[in-house]
This record gives sequence, C-alpha cells and structure tokens, in this order.
Amino acid sequence: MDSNNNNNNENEAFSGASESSEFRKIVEENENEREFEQSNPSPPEYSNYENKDDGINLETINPNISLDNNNNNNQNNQNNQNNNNNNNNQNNNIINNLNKKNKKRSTFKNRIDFSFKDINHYVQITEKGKKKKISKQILTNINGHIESGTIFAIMGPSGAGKTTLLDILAHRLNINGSGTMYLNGNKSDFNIFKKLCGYVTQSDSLMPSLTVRETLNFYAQLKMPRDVPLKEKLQRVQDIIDEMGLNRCADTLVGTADNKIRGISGGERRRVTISIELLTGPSVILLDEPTSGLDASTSFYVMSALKKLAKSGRTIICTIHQPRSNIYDMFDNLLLLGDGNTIYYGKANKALEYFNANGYHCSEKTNPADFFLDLINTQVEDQADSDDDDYNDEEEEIGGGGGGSGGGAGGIEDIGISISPTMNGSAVDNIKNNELKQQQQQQQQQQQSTDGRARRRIKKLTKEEMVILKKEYPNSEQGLRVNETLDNISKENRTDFKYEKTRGPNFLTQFSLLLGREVTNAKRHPMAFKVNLIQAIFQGLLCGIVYYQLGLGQSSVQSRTGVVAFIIMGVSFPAVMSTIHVFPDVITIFLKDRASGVYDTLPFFLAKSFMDACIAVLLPMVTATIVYWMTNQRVDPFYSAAPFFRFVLMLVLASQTCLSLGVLISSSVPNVQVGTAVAPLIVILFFLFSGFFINLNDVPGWLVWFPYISFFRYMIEAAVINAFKDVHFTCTDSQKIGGVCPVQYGNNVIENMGYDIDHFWRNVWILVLYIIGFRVLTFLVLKLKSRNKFKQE
Amino acid sequence: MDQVSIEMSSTPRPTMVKSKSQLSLRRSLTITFKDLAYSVTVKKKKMQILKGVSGTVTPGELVAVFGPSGSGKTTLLDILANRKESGEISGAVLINGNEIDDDYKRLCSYVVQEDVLLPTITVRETLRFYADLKLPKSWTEKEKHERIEQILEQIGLSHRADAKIGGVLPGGIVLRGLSGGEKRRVSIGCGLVTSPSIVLLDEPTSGLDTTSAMAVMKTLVELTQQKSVTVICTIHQPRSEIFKLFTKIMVLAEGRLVYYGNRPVEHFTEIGFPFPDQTNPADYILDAVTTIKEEGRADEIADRLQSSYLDQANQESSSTLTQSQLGIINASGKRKINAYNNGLFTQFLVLWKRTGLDFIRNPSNCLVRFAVAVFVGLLFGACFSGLGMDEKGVQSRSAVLFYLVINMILQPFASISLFISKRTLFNAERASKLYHTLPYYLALMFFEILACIGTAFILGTITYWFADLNPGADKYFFAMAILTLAHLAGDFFMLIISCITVQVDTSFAVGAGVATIYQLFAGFFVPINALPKSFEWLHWCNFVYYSFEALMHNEFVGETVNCGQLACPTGRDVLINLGLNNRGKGINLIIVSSFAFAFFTMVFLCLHYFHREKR
Repeated sequence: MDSNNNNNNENEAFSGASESSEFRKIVEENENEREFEQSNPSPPEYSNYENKDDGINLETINPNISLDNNNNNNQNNQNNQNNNNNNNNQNNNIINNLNKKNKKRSTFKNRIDFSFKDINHYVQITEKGKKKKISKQILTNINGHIESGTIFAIMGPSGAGKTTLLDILAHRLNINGSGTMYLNGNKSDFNIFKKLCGYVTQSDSLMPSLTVRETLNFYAQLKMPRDVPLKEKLQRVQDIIDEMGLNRCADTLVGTADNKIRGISGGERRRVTISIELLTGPSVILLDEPTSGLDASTSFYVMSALKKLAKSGRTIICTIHQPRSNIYDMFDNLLLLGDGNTIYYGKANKALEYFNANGYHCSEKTNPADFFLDLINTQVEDQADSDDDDYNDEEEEIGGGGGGSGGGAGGIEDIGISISPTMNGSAVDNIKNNELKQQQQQQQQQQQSTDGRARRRIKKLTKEEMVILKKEYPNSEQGLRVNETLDNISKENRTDFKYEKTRGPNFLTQFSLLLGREVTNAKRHPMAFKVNLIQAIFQGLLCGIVYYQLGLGQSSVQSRTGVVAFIIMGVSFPAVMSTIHVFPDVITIFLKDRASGVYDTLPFFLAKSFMDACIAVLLPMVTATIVYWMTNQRVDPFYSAAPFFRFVLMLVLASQTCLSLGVLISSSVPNVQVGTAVAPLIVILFFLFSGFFINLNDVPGWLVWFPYISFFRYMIEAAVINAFKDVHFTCTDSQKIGGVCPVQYGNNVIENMGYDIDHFWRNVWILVLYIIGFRVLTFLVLKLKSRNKFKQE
Repeated sequence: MDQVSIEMSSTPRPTMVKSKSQLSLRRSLTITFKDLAYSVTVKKKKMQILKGVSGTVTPGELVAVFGPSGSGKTTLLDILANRKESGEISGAVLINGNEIDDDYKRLCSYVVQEDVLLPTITVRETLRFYADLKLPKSWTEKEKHERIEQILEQIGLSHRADAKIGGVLPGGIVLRGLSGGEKRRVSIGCGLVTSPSIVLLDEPTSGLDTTSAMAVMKTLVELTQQKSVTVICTIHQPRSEIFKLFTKIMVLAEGRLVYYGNRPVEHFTEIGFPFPDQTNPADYILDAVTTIKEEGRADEIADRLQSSYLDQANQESSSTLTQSQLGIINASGKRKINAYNNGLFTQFLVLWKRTGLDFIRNPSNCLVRFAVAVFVGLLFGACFSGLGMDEKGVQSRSAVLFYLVINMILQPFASISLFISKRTLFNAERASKLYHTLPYYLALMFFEILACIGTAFILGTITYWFADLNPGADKYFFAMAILTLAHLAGDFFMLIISCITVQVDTSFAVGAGVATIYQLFAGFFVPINALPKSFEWLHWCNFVYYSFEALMHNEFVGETVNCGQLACPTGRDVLINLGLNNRGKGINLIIVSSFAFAFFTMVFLCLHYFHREKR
C-alpha cells in the first residue's frame, strides 16, 4: 500500500499525467515486480520456458524467419502439442506486455546489429633468457555477426583471449593487427561507438555512501546529453530501476563489498553497475564476466536482467567463464575461443550438435559449458600462469603506447601470416571457388565420419586435435555462413540507425554534481567529522593547559617558541596522515569513471579540493582559538585583535599545506602502505629544517638550500614573528647579566633564530604558493594516471 | 584382524616396533555422528543452526557436504573436527564407536578455506615446519625427510618444492610464487604431515579455476583410494567432473539433513524435482534445495529421513564398536598425548628458524629499517656536526638528543603493519593447536629486538660522532644503551596498541596521538618546572622523559659551559634550568629498562588473550 502511494507521488511529480495513465503505470510496475519475484526462485523448469520463449520471440520480432527455424519449431510442436499450446499462450502474453512497455517507455533508440570481421591481434612478448621481443598472435581470424535482441556469449578457458577480444570490440584496446567492426553494416570507430554502446567492467567501483537512486541520478546528469531536461533524466533513472528490478533497494546505501559500510548485496551492486551503462540508452552492451564473484541464484538473477534487456531489442555481448546450465540456456549465440582461435561460433543450442558431428559427445548429466571448456582447456597449470603474466604485461605496454601515439596501430613486425582477400571480383572465379569448397566439404565430412568413431571416448582434446578443430571450423557450415554474411554486410552501406552529435554537461554542471556528491558523502559520515573536531578541541585544550597564561619572564621565551612549534606540528601531522588513508579509495572510483569518460579531471579535482579546503579551515580555527587565548600568546598594550587573526591564519595555512601534501603523496604512491611509510619521513625531514631544532645560521654550507624548501620554516617563522615582534620581556635582578636582561626584546629572539622580522606576509604568500603548487602537482598526477588508463584512438 | 596376526607372529625386535608405530599412525577410522544439533544465542534469542544430523563416513569415502549459503555446512564440519568452542552442541560424534579423546586431533586434520601461509617460505620449508611441530619427538631427521618427500609427491608438488609460497608482503611488495591451486595443495599437504585418518576440508576448490580445482580434487581422490583416508569437505558449486568424484553427498538445507547417500538425483526426482537434460547434477541439487528452502519444506523432508539416518548411524557404530575393542586391547598401556606434540623449547626452536628465514627474506623487516636509520643518522650528523659547548652548542646538543629519542618512538610505526599481518597467520595456526603463544612470541621478539638494536646503534652511532657529542667511551656506550632501550620501549608500546586495536588505521591514529603526548611531556618543549601541578603525573609515566633525562645527564654532567666569563654555569646548572636534575643516569637507565620489560610482558598478554578466533 505504501509503495503504491509512493508510486502515485512519483508519477505526479514526474509526469503529471491523467488518472488513467497513472493507473496503467501502476499496473505495469506491479507486473514488473511480479515478474522478477517469479524469476527469483529460479525453478529448474524455467530454462525450458526460456528455450521455447526464444523461438517464439524470434517469430514475433523477426518476421523473415529462416526455414531451418521453422522446421525446428514444427518438430517441437509435434513432440509436445498440448504443452506447446499452453506455453505459446503464456509466452505470447509476455511478449505482448514487453512490446507494450517498449512502446511506452523505451530507454534506447536504435536496434543495432554488431559485426566483426577477421580480427587478428598481436602482442610483443619477451622470451625468457632473451632480450629480443617476439610478436605473438593472441587472436586469429575471429568473425562474428550479432543480431539485435540477442545475447552473444564469448566463452573459453583462461588465456584464450576472451577479455582481449571484448576490449577490442569495445574499442578500448587498439587492434595491433587487422580487423574491422561494423554497426548495422557501417564501419565503426570510437566516436560513433561511444554514443551507441556501453561497457560494463568486471569490478564494481561505486561510492559507498550514496543510495542506488542517488548514484544513478548522479551518473544520469553527467552522462546524458546537455539538452535533455532534468525531469526526463530522472524519469529515465526510474525506468531503469524498474527494468533492472532495483526498486526494493533504490533508497538503500550502496555500501562496500566487505560490509564495512552495510549496503546492497553483491548481485544488486552488479546490477547497479549495469544500470549506469544503460542511462545513455546504449543499443549494444558489452560485459566482462558479469557473473564473476556472485553465487548461483544471484548470477541467475543478473543474467535474467540481461535477458530481459536483450528481449527489448538490445544487443548483449559478454564474456563468461563457467556458466551454469540455466545460465547457458539463456545465451542465443556462442563463440568458443581456444588459444585465440574460433573453436565454435553459432547458435548456442546447436553447439552440442556440432561437437557430436565431430565425434565429441556430452553426457546427459553434464553442463554443456563445462563440457566445452574441458575439451578446449589443454593448458598445464604452470604454463597457464606464465602465459597470463606475459599477456598482462604486454597489453599494458601496448595500451600505453597506443595512448601516447594517438594514431592507429604502428608497423607490424614479423607477421608470418599474409592475409589475402578470400573472394575475387569476377564471376568465373567465384564459381570455381565454390566448386573447390564443395569438394573440400565432402572430403572433410568423410574424414569426420571416419575419425568420429575412434574419438568418442576422448574427454580432453590433445594439441593435435585442437589444431584439427581450429582448421575445421572455417570450412564448416557455420563458418561459411558467417563469412558469407560478413561479406554481404561489408558490401552494403546501410544507414539504418541514427545518432546525434550531442554535447555532454559543461564544466559548471560537472563541478556542481561532483561537489554535491562530496557534500553527501561528508554528511553520511558525521562520525568522521566529529572525531576530527574532538581531536582539534582536545589538542587545543592540551596545549593551552600546558602553556597556560605565559608571562613575560625569561623562561617564557622558550615556552612561547615551544607553543608555536608544537601546535603547528600538531595541526600538520594529522592532516597528512588522515589523507593518506582516505584518498586512495577516492582515486579508484575516479580512475574508473575517467576510463568511461563520465567527467573530466579538472572538475573532479576542484570539487575534491574545495571540500577538503572547507574542512581544513574549520578545524584549525577551533584549535587556534583555544590555544591563543589560553596561552596568552600576545601581550599587547592596546589589546589588538590583529595578532589573533594572524595566528589563526598561520594555522589554517599550515593545515592546508600539509593536507595538499598528503593528497599529493597519496596520489603518487601505489598503495596505502607505501604512503604510510613515506609520509612521516617527509614530514619529519621538513620539520627538521624549520629553524626550531637547528638554528638556521648554523646549517652547514652544503645543506643551506634545504631550509628554503621547508614549508615548516615559513610557518614557524611567521608564527614566531607574530608572537615576538615588538614584545618586551622582563627579568629579575638575579637573572641580569651586567645589568641587562639576557633577553629583553622579542625582536632579538627573532633574529637569533635566523628569522627576519619583516618576513611575515612574505611567508604567508610563500605558503599560498606551496598550497597551490602541491595541488597543481596532484592534478598533473591524476591527469597522467587517467590518461594511461584511458585508451582512446 | 590383520594387525592382530602381525603382532602375534612378530618378535620384539626394534624394527617391528617402528613398523608398529607407523601402523598405528595409519589406522582406518569410521566417523559416526548421531542427532547433531547446534544453537547459538544472539541478543538473548536462541538460533538453531543445526538439528538432527546423523550419518556415517567409512574409510576410503570422499563425502561432500552440499547446501546453499547459510545452511550450516561449515558449522557441521567444525563440529566433526571438534573445533567448535562457542554455542551449544548436542548429539554424539563417535570414532570407531568411541567418544572423541585427546588422540583425535592427531588423527584428524582440518584444512580451512583460506590459505594462511607465509609468503617468503618455500614449500618444502613449510612442510618441514609442520613436520617439526606435529610429528613426535621420536622421529629422526631421515624419517621426517622421507615423510615430506612422500607428501610432496602426493600433492603433486615435487617439482615446485623449492619455490616460495609468494603473495603480498607487508609494505606492498609482491613476491611471485605459487598459483592459487598450488597454494591450496600446500595447505592440504600441511594437514597430511601426521598421516591423519580423517581429513576435513572447508570449500577446497573455492576461488580456484578449472584446472586448479581439478588438480586439488584429484589429490583428495588419491588420498581416499590409495591411503584409505576418510575425507569430508564442504563444497558449494562444483562442476560435473568434480561432482562425479564424490562417493556420497550430504545435502543440508537450513540446518537440516535433507539427503545423505550416493543417488541424490533419484532422491530429489522422487520428491518432486524433475531432472532437466544437459544439466550439472550439482546445479540441479542446489536449485532443488533452494526451492525446498523457499517453500519451507526442509523440516518436513528432514523429519522423514532423520529416523532412518539415525538408525543407520547406530547400526554402523555398533558394528565398528566390535572392532574397536580389539583396538583397545592392542593399545593397552598407551599413554595419552599432550595437547601439543612437542615441548615448548622444541616449538621455540622451530619457530625461531622460520621467523629467521622470514626476517631475512622480507626486505621490509630489516633492510628498510636499517636504510632509514642510516639516512636519518647521516642527516642528523650533517645538521648537528661539530657542536661546541657554548650557549648555542648547549641548546643544539639538547635538541639533537631529544630528536634522537623522538625517532626511537616514531620508527616503530613500521612495525605495526608487520605485526598485524603476522597475527592472522598466528591466529590460524594457534587455532590448529600447532604451538603455544609463548614460543611464538619469544621467537618473534628475538628478531624484533635484533632489529631494534641494529636500528638504534646505526642511528645513534652516526649522529653521535658527527655531532661531536661527549667522546668518552663510557659515555658513548651508555648513550647507545639508552637509545636501544628507548627504541625497544617504543616498539613494544606500538605493538601493544596494535594488539588492542583491530585495524591498522586505528593503530596509527592511536599511536600518533600517544606519541604526541609523549613528546609534549618529555621535558624539552616545556621545562618540567613550568608544568602545572595537575599534569606532573604525565611525565612520571613517560619513558621518553626518563630517556631524555638520562641522555642529558650523560652529556652535560662534569662539563662546563663556555660563556666567556669567569663564573660560568656548569653542566648541572643546565640540567637544573631545564628541570632534568631529578635523578642520576643510572636510575634512569633502570627505569627505562623497566618500561621496556613491562611493555614486553603486556604485548605477550595481549597476544595470548585478545583476538582469539571464535569458531
């Protein structure tokens, strides 16, 4: 009942439609929820419905169905007439509902067929013991044609090249070799692809302290075009929440995977990651191992969501390693990779027939996916490890090189295979080639029938058998068909889809959204601010009590300098160390967003810096206020307030400088542990040359430059000037030497420490330059890191 | 029966005694559990986790415990391993029809889900470590070596025996080593050192890929088929090839036993779950169990099966009881074994050896510390070189001495992450009753103290001679002693903090706060005389203060300040002005030593009583 009321409110707020349309939307949403609730139990029979649903789906969506499919459907009808009738009715209802929903709230515009032809990819590998680099082929002549409305699965064991192929198809990895990709028959490049396709990585990097809806709203406003109204963006978010079954957790915090911040489950988190890519209405979605790290029921739920997306007309491409039977049954098309070659490509439900024809049989009690992977997986464990390492190393180099050059692939070295066109232009040659192919087919069929009997008991392929399978596929029925399809596609230049050159949000929008996220993050962690506030108060009180109400006697000279040194170190050290532990998590999310091109580096950096600066102004002001008045820092005949504000200014600048240094260190180091080791050393080193421990006049000659780069020197010098300038000290008669007090004028104290009385404002500006300098360096480091990971043509 | 005939025909020769002990090590055991139930009380509310679980596992069987998350698989395994320490357990676990006794931990081996191994040690050294701690003292070196080679062959890692385990070292260095599957097999190998008759494994293929998982399972199959070992493991989503290897399947749903036997597909088909074609049976069973759970049928199904399973267990236990009576006769006069297989001193030697290897091979342990000490020492020396004894020199000498002491506190921050990362390994091994806390702690502290002494000497020596501090030999060695003791006290204090707190972040925060207080009340920033009365206690319990006072005494007593006049203040006058003239340097040395020893003891107590693993 409450949910209905909420739906009513939301509908009124977003659309303001009439009562009848509201009622329809409520009914549809309820139906949507019921569907997901039904799919949650995942009964075993569900997979059968999926299979039949696929057939009927094809009939409905694609009227020009081939004869083979008709024959298969007829056979199914003959086998199970009664069941088929009932199932047909149910499936028809489902499809009708889907069509209705698609018409009303379509979240994407184009239906796109994705094709790739003759993909060949090489990497440079350094052989063990040798310094020369050898070119190794990772992918060999990979072809595929994926129709819209289908799920295309890329399967294979570790090291087969699945992720490499997916990254190439997603235009995230430049082809070091040859190959072409088409969108509805048109050649695809990165700029077009980026508008029409979405890529979901294997890891979920989300801000833990935002809710699911807030997360999607954030990305919607950043990723959708500038001219889309805000209402429409928010409505898109709600539509996607409905579509992905996230209504139950829409207002729950995302949380962290290790439950430090309690939030949504692993499967829900994965679906949020997928939802982010749906915001721009992509027609093609590529996913890398979408069920990795999830358990059985959660995996099924995620794949069901993807299946639903495919039914609505999208093209889904995913790599997957070891799917279960009910997940495997959801795949429409399958590409089996072995050692970078195509072992099988075609309908997923016909793969078993293909292997049967070649003499490899799968028992009834075996998952087909496991059966295929067992056949293909010929690697020994040790070799697999070394191969993986080599691939990873080389891919990184190629990625960096590609980013640096900015152009296409460079010169290809040592290509042993020459790629020649398979078809000639003349008709006579076509006829001859066809005849030759027919003869080859007949011969190979005979060989297969002969070899099949002898190989029926083999469970794993030997390397020789793998080679045979690799050779057989290009000449098989499926291989020839896909080649023919690709040839036709490359000839035609169709322009079926439309895409608009849209502009993303401007700088100000990005900055305001990122700043809003930072503010929300801070509000959701009030304990962190409270702890810091308590620490600041405690520090101030402690210092104030120890140095309470300093007088103007001789002993107060040392105490006054002690206050300055202690409080500056007390404000600075926590500023550095607290950043070291917090910032790396933020960088991880930033780098992931940057790789997707969600926002630019500068607005992120400015929003982050602004938020840090605000916090780092309040806390030192608290400490400074307590310390100044408790310790009687400045005894002035006129009781002027100026020294107090100068004191506050110095502490604020000290905190800002060290905070900026902490951000710079944590951006530069690879992980928290290295930062934890490096930061204290740097702080102690610079503090040593601040002039407090060593008189600046006594620094040895070859180190005389060091105090000039120690920012602590400028902090303490300014604070000491503020404390001692034009102050007169008293002494008792017993302390006098030659009738004169040892320390009579504050100005002498300043000079004895190696400081200059007139340097206060100079030091202020130097510290401002330090703050800006550290921030600029941090920005450059972030820019460099994000550029390395952002592989763009 | 075979054992009886062998013994009757044998003569009391030494070789036969050895073979007899080996035979007793390799007894085949049948494990029977009757009507097991387990519950815990959470917030005054009783939660039933297991109920009415009965069954028998005979030698040579490979039994899998199936079920979705939260069904009680790991709890059942913990109860069978006799490792459950919390909650209420009812029912019986019988070994050959007898109650579990102290001998059980030697006959039963438990392999946990995570591989907790030391990255810097090789495979052979890891197995040797376990052999030295777990095998009886009577085993000779040659026998241990042969045992290790056997295990390496069993787990298929003979060709990788001298490879380091590998992993991420504290400090962020990645050490290349074994793959995930190989590490898992090393963990299994550690459990096989004592030739156990029962091996229990928690999710042995979790986190592994296809090839690694199959290699691990083949190791287990060979154990059952060739050694007649009883193997029970929990498993979550096995593939078809792995599923076929199990002798029996035990299926749990919401703490109830809904099936136990070797024909699970037929069973679940009978109760209303048709088997779809081309499906992994394990997936099918999990789907069926998930549906059972959602429909609330677990109690119904389990109640129906419970009595028959209990009857079978009773029958099996009574039949094995007859055989065990013969075993009792054979084992008459046998003494019960201690909780640990070896004495504390033997444990210390073995741990000392392993800790030493890890200390040498991990750069974060010693090289980085010494390098930092050299760097900081040279820096101090350059800044404070050639100090005189005029007024400026007096101030500079005070500064350098204070700064040396402060570094003795700040350096130990590096120890915190090292200590916490090793604690995970310690907790896992202690839960296995591998060794006592005391020998582990002493072995660990031996090298920690070595590192502290080295660091203090390096830093102190460089700074001392560069700064031209008091050149007497007795002065120098006293200063080194104070610095060493201050470093030990600081190091142990940081370890106390890391023991009390749970995470590294909290340890750093608390350590930084306490270090700040120590610096403030050490007598340098504020003279002791100027402290308010209510804060005097803060420097009495401050070992930095005593260290600083001792160093100042060592430096200034007996010296005269050069002030250019006839009546110049003496070194003692300097101490009086700073409020550092309360006690002599000898007493301060004793006080700092007492602080170090007290902290040393407190670390042990924290390690022994805090952060125990709750099973």
